[in-house]
Amino acid sequence: MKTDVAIEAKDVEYIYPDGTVGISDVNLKILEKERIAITGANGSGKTTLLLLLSGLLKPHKGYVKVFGYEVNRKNTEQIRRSVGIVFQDPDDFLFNPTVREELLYTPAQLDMPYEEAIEVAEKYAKIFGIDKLLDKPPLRLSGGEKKKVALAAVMMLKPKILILDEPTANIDGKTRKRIVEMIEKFDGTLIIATHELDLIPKFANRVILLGMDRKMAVNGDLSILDDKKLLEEVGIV
Amino acid sequence: MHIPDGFIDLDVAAIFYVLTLAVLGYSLYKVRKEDVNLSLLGIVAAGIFAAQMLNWPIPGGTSAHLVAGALAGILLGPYAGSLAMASVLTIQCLIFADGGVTALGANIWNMGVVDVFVGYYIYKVLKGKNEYLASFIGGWLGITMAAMFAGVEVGLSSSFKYGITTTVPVMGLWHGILGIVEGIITAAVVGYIHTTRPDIMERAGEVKVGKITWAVLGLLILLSPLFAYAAEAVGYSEPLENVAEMLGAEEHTIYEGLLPDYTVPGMDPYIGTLISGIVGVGIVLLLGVGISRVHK
Amino acid sequence: MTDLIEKSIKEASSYFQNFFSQEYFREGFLQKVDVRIKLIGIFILLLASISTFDFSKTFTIFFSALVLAKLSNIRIKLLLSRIWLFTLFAFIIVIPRAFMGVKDFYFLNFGEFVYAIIFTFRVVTAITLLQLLILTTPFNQILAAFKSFKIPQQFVFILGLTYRYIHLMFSELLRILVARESRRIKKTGFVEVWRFGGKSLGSFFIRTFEKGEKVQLAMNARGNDIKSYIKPFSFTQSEMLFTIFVLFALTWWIMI
Repeated sequence: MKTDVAIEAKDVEYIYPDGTVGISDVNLKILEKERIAITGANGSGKTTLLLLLSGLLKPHKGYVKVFGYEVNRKNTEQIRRSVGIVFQDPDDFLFNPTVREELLYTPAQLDMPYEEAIEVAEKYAKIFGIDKLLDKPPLRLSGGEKKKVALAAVMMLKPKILILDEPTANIDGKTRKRIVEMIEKFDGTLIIATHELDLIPKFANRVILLGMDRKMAVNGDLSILDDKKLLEEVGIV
Repeated sequence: MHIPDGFIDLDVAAIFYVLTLAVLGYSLYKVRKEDVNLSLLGIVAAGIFAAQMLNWPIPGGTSAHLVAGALAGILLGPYAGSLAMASVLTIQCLIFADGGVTALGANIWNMGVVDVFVGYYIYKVLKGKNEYLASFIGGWLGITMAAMFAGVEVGLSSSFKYGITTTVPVMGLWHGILGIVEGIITAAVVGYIHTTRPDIMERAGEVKVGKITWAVLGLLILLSPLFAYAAEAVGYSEPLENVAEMLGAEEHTIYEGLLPDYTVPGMDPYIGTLISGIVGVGIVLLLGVGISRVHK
Repeated sequence: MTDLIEKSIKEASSYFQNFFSQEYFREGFLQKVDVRIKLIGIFILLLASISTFDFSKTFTIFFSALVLAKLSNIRIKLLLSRIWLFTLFAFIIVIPRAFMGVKDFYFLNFGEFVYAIIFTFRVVTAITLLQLLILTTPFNQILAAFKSFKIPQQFVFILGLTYRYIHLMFSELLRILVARESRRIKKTGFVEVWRFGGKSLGSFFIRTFEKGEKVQLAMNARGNDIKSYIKPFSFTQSEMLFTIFVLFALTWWIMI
């Protein structure tokens, strides 16, 4: 297989324990350095798809390969080292007692030396403007601050693939501008789920549209954003 | 029911630290072996903490709190449940000064071991008959046993001058009554989860319930008043007299407790305590049957 | 239900005040001492305070605690507000003994009365020491200290998670209760409150489990283990002074 394929999904289907279909019939190839937006109405399976592409969920049918490694127990570490994902709800994502420990969490799992880890953490804290919050517990941060901490914790490790679930939901204009800036600067493979259509042209060159049947409706370039009829059909506008 | 520092003697505290650490150590081993989801454990512990803060109104204008040890056992299984309760109690001690540092071992023993294991096994044994009844009795007996153990700990301590024949019945009776609220709420929670997300409770570690379980449970119930009896028999009250001498006072009969009426008059105190205990169990069992009818 | 919600909010807010006040510590002596040394030192003093019934010995420790409070800029009023309830509780429990047995004056058994006072004083001294620790140490530092004390990492991780999510889960619980209450019309009795409250708690615990599953997923994404860094220990001036202080108090306690 070609080396420049970042993620490949074939006939992927995922069904939740209670029997509801999370997503089905996903066939997808994402090239390295490609920038992709996934959009669709509420409940169309965006989050499920992201979790599958990041290798966190194992599909019940078909397979997902990340840089040629199929998602399974054996390859977990290989995949995790190249993929960084940020959840939509930072309260699910930030589980450490302070912001500092939040930033140091993954480096500790990677056995990075303490001095090196703290140096990178402080550098990224400055970049994201959260350096004054390092000793605060995450629960005392505002929604925007939490988003920045989550993003910093993942981006400081320079993942090859960055996956973001609604990075700009529920935040004020100023924070949003900063986050968009940071995402624009990222130069690896980028996958973003969002239903803010006006943001998509800023950082994506391909759009995947999910329909209400939890299948991929369209997989194409940005021109579909102008197709009002189609967007109405899948329930976005 | 959180015992503060200074209520129990250091040797009693040390004994219960050792017992508690042994159980928690084994629980950690089990949790590691069964690859239990640690995040889930920590967050359910936070949920229990939150649930404990609710102030349930009870007749008479006061209110009661849930301890939720039995609930933790039923939802997470006894091993993960005891770790969750230990986490809650440690935080209550070190952030809110609820319960003492030296008494932490005893407090975890009562609410994180006795309450959790008794609650879990009662539920396990009875749930085949009736889900509500099983969780009601589990919740009630768990908290009552926990309270009786608290009574044993302070009663055995010479710093706390009331004897064990006073503390165990007082704690047992008081929490036996309050425990009814605990039982009702435990039953409502378990019933609700059982009908909406049964998979959650099926996950709680399967532990076989055999004759041994019954034996241990029976032993535990017999044990609490037995402690009292044994303590009296070997004259554990001796250090107490030393204290009294030091203070220039003389120790007087220990039976003249706060509420001597809780033992059956004219009878051996152990048997008296046991009888009042059994009568209490009977009353609550009947109540439980009644309540589980109402629930249906 | 209104009763349940209102009382719970009132109590919880006083609880959480404690929780959040930890972020706004004043500068002071104890605040500078390494938490590992501080934990050990305070624990030793606490043991000394409750292992005796000698008033002057316990007073030694109590006095030391007050000195530490002063050095750490802890207001006496704040300290009092946090110990008076425990004091009252302990005293009410033991004071009936003063009216039992031989009566020295009309109705009072003097020996037992002295016992009740000293017992309460010991409890107060111990709680004062515990409050000194709480008022000068953020919980996450205690967690870090636990790690270097070789307390199993799994348990420290569970403690950290519990601490992190208490407030979030309580707001969630309140939302569920208030939503249920907002749609209630008829008046409810005690048993109904318990039952409906219990059901609300049931749905709350289901959400708790769902939250736990999501956090587990996040943990998988971010490293799936519980390793952490342990700060190297350094014995500076503050640690030295604190150790000397504790030893001095202890010597005094033994000699007296």
